[in-house]
Amino acid sequence: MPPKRVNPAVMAALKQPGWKDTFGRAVLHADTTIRKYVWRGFRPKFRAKNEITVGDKSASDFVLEAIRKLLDGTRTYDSSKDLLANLNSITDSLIWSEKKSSDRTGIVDYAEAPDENGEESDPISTAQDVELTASEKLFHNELREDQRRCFATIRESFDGDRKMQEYLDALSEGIFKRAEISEVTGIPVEQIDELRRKLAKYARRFFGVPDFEALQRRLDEGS
Amino acid sequence: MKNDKQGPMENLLDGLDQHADALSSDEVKSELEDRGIDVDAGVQEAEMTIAAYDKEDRLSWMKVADEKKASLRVAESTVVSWVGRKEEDIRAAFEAFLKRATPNHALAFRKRDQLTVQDMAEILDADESLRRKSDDEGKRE
Repeated sequence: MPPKRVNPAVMAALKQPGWKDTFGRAVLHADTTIRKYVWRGFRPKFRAKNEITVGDKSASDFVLEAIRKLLDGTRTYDSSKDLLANLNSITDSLIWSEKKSSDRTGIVDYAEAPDENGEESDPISTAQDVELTASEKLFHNELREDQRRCFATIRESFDGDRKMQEYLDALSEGIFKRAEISEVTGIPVEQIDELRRKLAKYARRFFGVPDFEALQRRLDEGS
Repeated sequence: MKNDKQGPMENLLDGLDQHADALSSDEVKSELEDRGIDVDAGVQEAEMTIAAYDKEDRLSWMKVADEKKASLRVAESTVVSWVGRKEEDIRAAFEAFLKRATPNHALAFRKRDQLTVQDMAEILDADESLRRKSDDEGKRE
């Protein structure tokens, strides 16, 4: 029987000139996914240089694993989507699985649903209403309160910058589409990307902080 | 669309992620460095992985091509040609060939009176070679 070939569409996508840029963006997405779990109570580990990990895997490791799975055919490449969307979808489920097997310290999960490949997917994106126990509800409320305090602190640090605060408000409400943000805030669409850039420069202060106290320490240090 | 399942910090991270498409490659790299990630090391490892799969993929198909070529050579070398054999043997074998041929094949040789003994011998050789090739492929599958 002939050997199983690497899907030519996968190989072609990985040989495109811009694939290194795609790799970087996929790592950024994976890292963000891990950090979102931190705000739900996940206690991550860190490598040198403060690189966040789930178990012993970093965001880069998850993207590399996703590439291997596409190459060996363990995961199907959806040709209707671009390489980045394919990688993001796979890393989401890999991080979720790894988090589930390496940590059971009270993360508030909403639901577990297998994706089209039969693998469990990130419950953030497949959230359904699930009745929490009393202790889970308490923990959930504490985490949510911690998030609110952190967000308020970040927002306050932009006092005097009305547009940035409105941009932050929109994002914190889960309004992500530029046109919708523009409609709600009155900020012209073309200025939204500038706000994103400005925020990125400031963002390092709250990326990686696991709770409000840590954020305060960072802000006090002025890092 | 609002996502009530996430808190404000999760949403903030989600929003930053979704708007990352506005960042240049250098800005993405810089943001990753801020998060303690050396993206160049990851790219290097990914390149090695992709190259390894690419090489294995090409080698495996070269192997298949080599095997097919080899089996064809074996089939050709072991065929005893009909060319040069006795005329009555060739004619008898050709009649037998036509009898076992499909109606379409038989139709193709409807003007067989015009075929020379040499033509018949060559047709029998080609048929023998094809049958050996398909037998060989059947065994491999």
